[in-house]
Amino acid sequence: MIYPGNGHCFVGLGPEEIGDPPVAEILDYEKEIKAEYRERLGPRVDLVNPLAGTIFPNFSLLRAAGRTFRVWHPKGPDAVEIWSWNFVDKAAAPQVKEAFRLAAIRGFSPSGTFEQDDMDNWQGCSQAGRGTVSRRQKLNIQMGIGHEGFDERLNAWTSEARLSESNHREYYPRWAQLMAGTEWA
Amino acid sequence: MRDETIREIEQFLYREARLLDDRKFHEWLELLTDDIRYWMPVRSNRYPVNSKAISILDGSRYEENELSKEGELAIMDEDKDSLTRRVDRLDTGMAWAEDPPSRTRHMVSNVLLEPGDKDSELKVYSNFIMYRTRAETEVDFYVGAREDVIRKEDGQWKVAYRKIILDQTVLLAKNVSNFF
Repeated sequence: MIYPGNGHCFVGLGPEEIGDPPVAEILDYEKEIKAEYRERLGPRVDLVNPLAGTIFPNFSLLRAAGRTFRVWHPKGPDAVEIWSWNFVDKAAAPQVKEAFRLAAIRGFSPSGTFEQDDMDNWQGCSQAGRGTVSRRQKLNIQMGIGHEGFDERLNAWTSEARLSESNHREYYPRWAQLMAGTEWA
Repeated sequence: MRDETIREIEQFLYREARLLDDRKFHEWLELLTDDIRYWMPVRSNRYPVNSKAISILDGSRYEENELSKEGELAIMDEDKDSLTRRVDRLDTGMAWAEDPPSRTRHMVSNVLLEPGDKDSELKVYSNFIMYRTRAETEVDFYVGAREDVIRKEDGQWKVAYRKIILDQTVLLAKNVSNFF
């Protein structure tokens, strides 16, 4: 996990790990464009291999199941409306665009075999958090404490763990600051 | 259209709905042709482009069609292989949205037949209400229309094409983990 502060973050993989959906057209395409994007974006691009991420506060990207981005619209304490898009390179061949489109619909959409389960999880979390006993507790976001460090090359904080709550500890204070403050406005 | 054919198609659709409600998904797959396209477009309703008032001011901005087109983003866009994978996944014990499973009830009505593009095919329009309840008190209604192509293959009717048109724009259910 890599997070530069202010609540932004992404979950990254090792440089040689594959972050794309296991679809031949997509994997071949990514190999094909690697040299070009390295040339255009410079060698620092090899420092990160993003899987999923959020630009604070409600814009998220996902690479692991097609190419999707979404905007989360809070609709009160028990509801979130999600707008999601599928994006592809304009210059990609039609069959590559189609592969990305289908990977997103079949993997990460309301019916997607990954995402349909996520909604069930979130609903379960909200229901569990609503109970009297749960409400007496503070939300625990300690995961990954003590396994974080600042990476000079990335100019960002990183966690040794791929999944941690390191960015939760940045995200919620920033959110509370913006909700309560007037100095920033 | 002969009464006999109408009855046959209606019974076919009811039998199909029963298989889905009984969660006999492998048997349901056998009612689909190998070249099936099964998809559910996204519906969007945007004031500037879907309002008649706009067409008075600027007709070029008005769009009658709210549904995404083939090749655009959709809620589902499946072929036989991907539908088979979805069904196989339900057997893995790792399909959390369906474990414990939804209880569904498909109501199929307004069945209307038209001749198909080929002699072996019929265009079949129907409306549906799919009631889903799950766990303790979860309730969802999926209501819409279906545009099918039903083809006779080796003496058996099979679904060769299905477009599922939901009436909701923002999907009010948390997900789509059942078939239509």
